[in-house]
Amino acid sequence: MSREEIYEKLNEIFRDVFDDEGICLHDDTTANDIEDWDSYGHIYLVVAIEKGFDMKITMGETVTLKNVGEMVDLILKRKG
Amino acid sequence: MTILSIRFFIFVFFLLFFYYLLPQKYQWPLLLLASFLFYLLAGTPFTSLFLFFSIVSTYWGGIFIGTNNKHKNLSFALTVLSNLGILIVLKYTDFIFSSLGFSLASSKFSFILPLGLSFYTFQVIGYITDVYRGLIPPEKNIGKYALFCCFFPQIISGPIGRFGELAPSLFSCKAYNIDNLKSGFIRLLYGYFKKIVISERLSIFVDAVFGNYASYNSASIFVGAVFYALQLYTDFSGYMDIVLGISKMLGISMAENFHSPFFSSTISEFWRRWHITLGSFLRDYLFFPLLKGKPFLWLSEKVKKKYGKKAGKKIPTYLAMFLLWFSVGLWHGPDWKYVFGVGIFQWVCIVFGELCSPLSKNIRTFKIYPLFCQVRTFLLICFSFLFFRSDSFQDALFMLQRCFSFSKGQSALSIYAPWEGIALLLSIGILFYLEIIGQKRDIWQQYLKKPAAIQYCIYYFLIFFIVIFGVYGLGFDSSAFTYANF
Repeated sequence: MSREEIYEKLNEIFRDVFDDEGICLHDDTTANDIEDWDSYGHIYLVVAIEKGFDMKITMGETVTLKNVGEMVDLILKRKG
Repeated sequence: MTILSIRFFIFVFFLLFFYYLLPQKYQWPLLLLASFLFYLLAGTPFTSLFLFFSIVSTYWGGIFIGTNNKHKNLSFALTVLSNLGILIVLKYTDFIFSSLGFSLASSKFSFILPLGLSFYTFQVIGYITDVYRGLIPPEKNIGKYALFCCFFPQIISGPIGRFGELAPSLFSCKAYNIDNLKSGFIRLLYGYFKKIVISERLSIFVDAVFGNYASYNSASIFVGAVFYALQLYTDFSGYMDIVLGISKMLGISMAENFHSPFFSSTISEFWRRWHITLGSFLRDYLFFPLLKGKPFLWLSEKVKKKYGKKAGKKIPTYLAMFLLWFSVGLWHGPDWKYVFGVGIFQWVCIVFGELCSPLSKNIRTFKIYPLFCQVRTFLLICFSFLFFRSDSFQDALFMLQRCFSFSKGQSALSIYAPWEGIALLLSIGILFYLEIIGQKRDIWQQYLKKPAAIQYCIYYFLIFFIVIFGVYGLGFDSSAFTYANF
């Protein structure tokens, strides 16, 4: 799976979880850039990524993911 | 030995002297020795055994979890449960039994409560969980690990440190740095200013009103509730300033625990700015695992199918938040007044605020709206802290009832002499001025940029202010920091 493919799918997941069709992700996107990305939203996002990419994200990874770039790196590591 | 005693000053002075005099490789062993000594002098030798158990059990637990994958889950569960078990048995046995309707009058456990039990227990549980999650390797040196657990400025009231963040600063060799000493010392003085000048002066009013609320009028009770919120803030954040000031003088960086909380617009924001390390601890080690656990995900799916996507997210979140806030309340003390005031009441405010959020869309454009939100949040916090300070849950309810029923009675404002009132207003003015500045920039760094003459003027101003307007001497209980008994 390429980085571009991951981004395409990740954009869909973000738009679905946060109900915002205007979301357009890049490596530096953080919780500060998306209105509903708070600690609760973070968990639903992680769960949606797990489902969408058919992978497991540990609790350690969940609490340390700080931006979209780190998420993409993690997905690449598992799926690349 | 308490943090406000002369002995503590002498202790810190000699520690600093030898800390920078000895070869740097002896700095952390010296801190460990000082921390053990402080804990023994501040508490009792018997209660130190509980701390010793926590250090040894989590040290070996960490080593085992880090090196043995086979029994990793069992080791983790045993280590966490044994430490949490001590906290529950020592702190909550009476509460659990009395809540279930049993009386344990002859076998109270609270008399052997070790100093800082709630703080260091959370800190060691955080460490063992981080090792279990693979976020940090286990610390192999038991001396270094013991220092992380019982570093003397923080052991009694926090901040609750994370090993991954604190360890590099705690164990590294530090060269003498005059800027660290200067900014640490001014912060230490500011902590004493908050505690001795503001908190203790406010406590005179608060003690009178809460001690005999039936004889005071509504306005006095209202002012008493506002004063208590300020008293608690200056007490706890003052202690944190002393802790962070001493740490800075030792060249050690620690997590901030407050960020001008009274300027928050919502209750959620308030709790992100008040006792920050407790909030982030409960978020990472309780709330996230709960919400990501199978029962909550199952519930989320069920609700989503029946009531839609939004409800599927909101309802499990509110349920997990309820458990989180219940824990916050319970952590503050084994009493329903804490569970309600610092727990469930906060949860109700947050959920109600979220549900009503669409209704406020039309008024958000008004210029005065942000100020309205800040005042509303401040008053809600004052009323919830009323439960914190009251002798019982019932007393808090009676006080609230009296506060809003325009009751007649004597005025508490006469408690203060005119000069006391002026000193209090002036010191609260200084506090809020620095709080406003502190939201935009680091006031301790700003202090270092001032010319030496101004720096000395600020030192002497603070020292004289504390000496002249501070509440101390006979009848003053220097050990009475509110959060020191947690």
